[in-house]
Amino acid sequence: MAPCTDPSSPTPSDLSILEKQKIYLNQHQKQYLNQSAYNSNFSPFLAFKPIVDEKSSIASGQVYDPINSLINGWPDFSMVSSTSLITENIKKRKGESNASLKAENSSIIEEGGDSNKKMKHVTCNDSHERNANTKEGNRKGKNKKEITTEDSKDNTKDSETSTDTAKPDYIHVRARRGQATDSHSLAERVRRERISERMRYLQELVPGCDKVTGKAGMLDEIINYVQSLQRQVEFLSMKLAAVNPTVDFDIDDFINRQMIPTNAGCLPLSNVLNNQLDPSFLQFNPLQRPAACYGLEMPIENPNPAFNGSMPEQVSASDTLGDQYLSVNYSSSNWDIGQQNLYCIDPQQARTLGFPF
Amino acid sequence: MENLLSNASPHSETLIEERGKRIKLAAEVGLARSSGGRLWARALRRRLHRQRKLPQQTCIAKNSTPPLMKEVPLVADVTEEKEEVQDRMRALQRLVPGGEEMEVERLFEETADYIEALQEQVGVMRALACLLDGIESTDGDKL
Repeated sequence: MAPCTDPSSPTPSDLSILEKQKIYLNQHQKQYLNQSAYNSNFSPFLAFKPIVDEKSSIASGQVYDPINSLINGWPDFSMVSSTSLITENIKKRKGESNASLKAENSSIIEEGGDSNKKMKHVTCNDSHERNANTKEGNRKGKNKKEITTEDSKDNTKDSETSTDTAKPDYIHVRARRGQATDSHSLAERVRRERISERMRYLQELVPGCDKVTGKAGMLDEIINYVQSLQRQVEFLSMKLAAVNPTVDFDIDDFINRQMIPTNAGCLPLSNVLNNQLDPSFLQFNPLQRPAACYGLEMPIENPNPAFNGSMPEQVSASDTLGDQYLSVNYSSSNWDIGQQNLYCIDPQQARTLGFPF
Repeated sequence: MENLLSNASPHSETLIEERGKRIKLAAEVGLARSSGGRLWARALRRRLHRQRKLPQQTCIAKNSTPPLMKEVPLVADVTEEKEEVQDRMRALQRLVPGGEEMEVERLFEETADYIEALQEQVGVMRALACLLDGIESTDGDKL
């Protein structure tokens, strides 16, 4: 991920998108006034999904900062009667998010999640006014303290947060009419909003969750889904073992050498996320091409969540190996879950092993 | 698959199980590596590492850490509901690797990412199984 060297001046594309966001949010201001926190935070979460829908397209064009999209509208909320306002601005987070959005979708969730953790709300530092009042001073300290505790818990992207923030960080929280405005309840409310955001995202992930209402019911669905996925993995691994007696993986070897296991069968690779197999694969006769490398070289050590961007390079590498190759379709999402160690790449071995069947 | 298993002798059935376990392990390692930045991935990697080093210790103590703190219900009516929710939270914690040490927000986040990773993995393995099935049947025809 390229570090944002100058987060204080967003790129022209960011500005225009920010302005678009502003306009969009201005239109929805009144909705924000009347809706619960739940709804107001709903749209940012949509941007977490790779599928771009109307609301998220606005935000995702920029870097997805879930709270930022709300914040752009905050300064115009002067008509709101409650005015407790705490502004927190984390430029570096925005800068990093800018860089990360240009990476793959898989990193967006992480970044967004981190942004959520790092701050209650994020303001665009230079392009928006900050309505500061005297109460801010008291709350600033408290919120900073909260933020730092959250920071300490956040160990995923700590290294990226170091860039430059000469200005102190603020958290932007809007208290609604009739709600308590002390820092405790504000923090509590923000926390609850965040939790419900995430709950909503989980709802979208888990099929059939929309029909259930209530926290316990939704949690039930989520738990069942995770369990079923885990069971599917187990079942499929048993199936793979049964279907093909020669398929085996020496995991120790794999881990020790940080390479693909050499005694694993060389398998044709196709990233077929939705079981859309290219029928030509099935007619692939290994005997005719003993010299070809059947597998696809995959980088095993690729902890970079944005490494999906490097996939196309691998495709070209595999293409050079043979034209009867399995066309590798890389999706933009993190598809390589099991693939890295399921496929063997060893041209010399392919020569001797041939096709494992 | 059922046919294969039923026709197989008891000896090879165990073999299949063993191979299946190895494949599953490989899949899990792949899963863990696929998103290195996530807590669950790191916890999963730690667990797999431990399993590898000491294979006889198959029971990994996942519940050794204290459960995450939940809000104490203040109203009697709400108690039962919150109890239910808390029970499910704890169950989710156990499911997601490394979940015991996470608080609610983090847990949800990690769960979402974990679900996505699992979905991808299932897709890949299913495709692989289909592919192998297809190839095997093709080979059978040729031979």
